[in-house]
Amino acid sequence: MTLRVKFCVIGTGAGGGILAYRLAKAGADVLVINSGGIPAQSEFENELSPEQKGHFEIGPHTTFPVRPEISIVHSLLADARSRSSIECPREGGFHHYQIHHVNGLQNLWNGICLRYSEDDFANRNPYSEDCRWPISLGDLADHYSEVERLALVVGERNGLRQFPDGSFLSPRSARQIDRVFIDSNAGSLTQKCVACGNCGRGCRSGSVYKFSTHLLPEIRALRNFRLLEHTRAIKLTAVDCDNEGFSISHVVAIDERAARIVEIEADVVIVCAGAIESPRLLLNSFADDPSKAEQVGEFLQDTPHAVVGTSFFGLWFRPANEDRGYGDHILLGGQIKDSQGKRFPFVGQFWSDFMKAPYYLAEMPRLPRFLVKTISRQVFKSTATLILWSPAVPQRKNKVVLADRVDHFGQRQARIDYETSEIEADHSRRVAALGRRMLRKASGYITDDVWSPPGSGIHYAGTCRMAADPGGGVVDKDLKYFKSKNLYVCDGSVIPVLSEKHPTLTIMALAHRLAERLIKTYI
Amino acid sequence: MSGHDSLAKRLCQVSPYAGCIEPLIGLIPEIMERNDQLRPLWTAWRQNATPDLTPRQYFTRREVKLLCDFVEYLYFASDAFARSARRNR
Repeated sequence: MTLRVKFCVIGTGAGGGILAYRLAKAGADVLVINSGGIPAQSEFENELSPEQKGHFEIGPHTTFPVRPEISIVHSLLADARSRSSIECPREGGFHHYQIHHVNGLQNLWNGICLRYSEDDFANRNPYSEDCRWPISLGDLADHYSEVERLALVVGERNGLRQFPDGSFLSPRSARQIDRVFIDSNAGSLTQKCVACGNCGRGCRSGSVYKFSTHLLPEIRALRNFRLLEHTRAIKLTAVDCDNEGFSISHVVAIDERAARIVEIEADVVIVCAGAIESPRLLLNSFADDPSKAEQVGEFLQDTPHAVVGTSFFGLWFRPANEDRGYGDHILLGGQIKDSQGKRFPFVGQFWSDFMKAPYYLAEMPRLPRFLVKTISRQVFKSTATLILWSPAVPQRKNKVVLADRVDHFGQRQARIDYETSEIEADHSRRVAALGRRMLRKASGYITDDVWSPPGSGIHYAGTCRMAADPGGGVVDKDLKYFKSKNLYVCDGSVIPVLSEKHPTLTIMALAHRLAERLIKTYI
Repeated sequence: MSGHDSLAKRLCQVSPYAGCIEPLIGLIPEIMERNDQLRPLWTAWRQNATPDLTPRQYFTRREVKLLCDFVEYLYFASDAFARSARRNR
C-alpha cells in the first residue's frame, strides 16, 4: 500500500505529538505513524497498588531481598526479549525504558515542566565543548508559552534565574508532609508546584499532559489528519540530489495488524521516535552509505541523578494523612560545589507517597515479627524521597550503534555503549549528600541511597544533536538534517546537552517552533 | 484451588507470613514464573514436589531464605498490609 502525504511524522512523544497537533490545526495534510496503539485510559486514571497491578512491582530482574533501586515495572514497557529495539543490556549496563504505545515515553513522564534557562542555552556547562546550543532562550520563549498553555502547566512565578517563569496555572497548596519538609528546610527551598508526579503509576486526576488525552481528541476528526497505529517505520529511502544533499522519497513501514508493508511518500519527513529509536532508524536506513549518518548516535546522554529516601520520624504514630502521592509539590534548586570546587546547578524534586513496595525490609535488623509489623506500618505512612538531578557531561564514546542481532521486524537492533563519567558520578554523590542532609533536618534520621542504574533517568538525548554547522552536529538550528533537504528530527535526540532540568517541555517547545517553521515554508 | 495454587501454598509455608498472604496464592505461580531469580525454584518445586515433601526439606538454606524474603515482601506490599497501616497509628 502506498500513501501520499505532505508531512509524515514518525512517533507521538513530546515532539511528535505537538508537531502533529500544530500542523493538523493549520490545515496541513499530516500522517502520523506510531509503532503501538493508544494506551487504555485507565493507565492515566487509576493509581493501582502493587497487588492491584498483579505483579507487586516484581519484574524479571528483581532480586530478593529487594533493595531500593529505580526499577520501573510498567505494563506499557516493551518486552525486552522480543519487541525491544536494543540488545538486552548487560548487567549494570544502560537500561533503555522503551514504550511503543502512542505518547511514547510521556507515558512514564512525571509531569515536571521546566523551561531551560538563559544559562542553559548560553553553553555554560564547562564539560560540553563538542555539544553546544545554536539557539537562545529568546528563540524558544514564545514557543514555551504556547506549549505551557497546551499542556496546562502549573507553577508559581518566582522570578528565579534558574527556573524561568512561564504561562502557568495556579498551584495547589502544600500538604501535611510537604510542610514537614518545607518548615525544616526553610530558606534553602524553592517552592514551585507542578501539575503532577509519578504518572507512570497512574494519575488520579488525568491532568498530566498526554498527546492521546489532550491534543489528539481535538484533531482526530480532521480530514487532513491521519494516525496509523501499530505501524512501525523501518526504513527511510533516500534519493541523492545534486547540491542539496539527499531527499527522503519514501518512509517504509510495517502495519502490524494488517501484516503489510506501507510505503509513505511525503514532502517532509519528521523523525520523532526518541533519542534511541531515531538514531537506530537513521543508522539502519543509511547502513549502505554511512556518510549519510555521520555523527548520528554519538553523545548519548541521560540526566545524572541521585535518589535518597527516608521515613520522617516526625510522622510516626500519627494518623495516616491520605493527602499523599499526588504530585511533586516541592521543587528545589541552586548550585553546589563538586569535589574540585567547581559550582554546578542541580534540581531536586521532593516526592512523598505511601510506600508501595517494602524496599526497607532488606535494611531492617532481625526483629520479632510484631516489631517488624509495627515499624513497617510507621514507615509505610511516612516515607519521602528526594530525586536530585545534575547536568549531563556529554561524551562522544557514549553512543547508539547498530548491533548484529535483528529485532522482531528483521531490523538490526541497537547496541548502547555507555559509561557514566567520573564527573557525573561526583555530582551525583554531592547532590545525594545534600539530599540526605535536608531529609535529616526534617526528621528523616535514617536515609537510604536508591540505586539508579544508567538509563533510569529516562531523559535520553544528544544522539542527533543540533548545531550551528554540520561539523558540530546532525541537525541545524531549525532541526533540519544537515545532509538532507526534506528530513527533520524532533525529539530528545536533538538536545545537544542536557541541563539539570527535565527536558520534556524543551522538546515540546522545539516541536512547536519547528511546526511554525514548516507551516510558513510549506503551507 | 488449582494444582499450581496448592503447590504455591505449600511452598509459602517456609515463611511465618504464609498465613497472611493466603488470598494472594493464586498470583504467586505467575510472579515466580516471570522472575529470573524465583523461576528456577518454582520450576524445580513444580516438577519434584511430592505430598510428603516440605520446602525446607527440598531446598537449600539459601533457597529457603530467598523464598522467605519473597513471601515477606509480598505481605508488606499487599493491600491487606496497606489497609492495616492506614488504620493504625
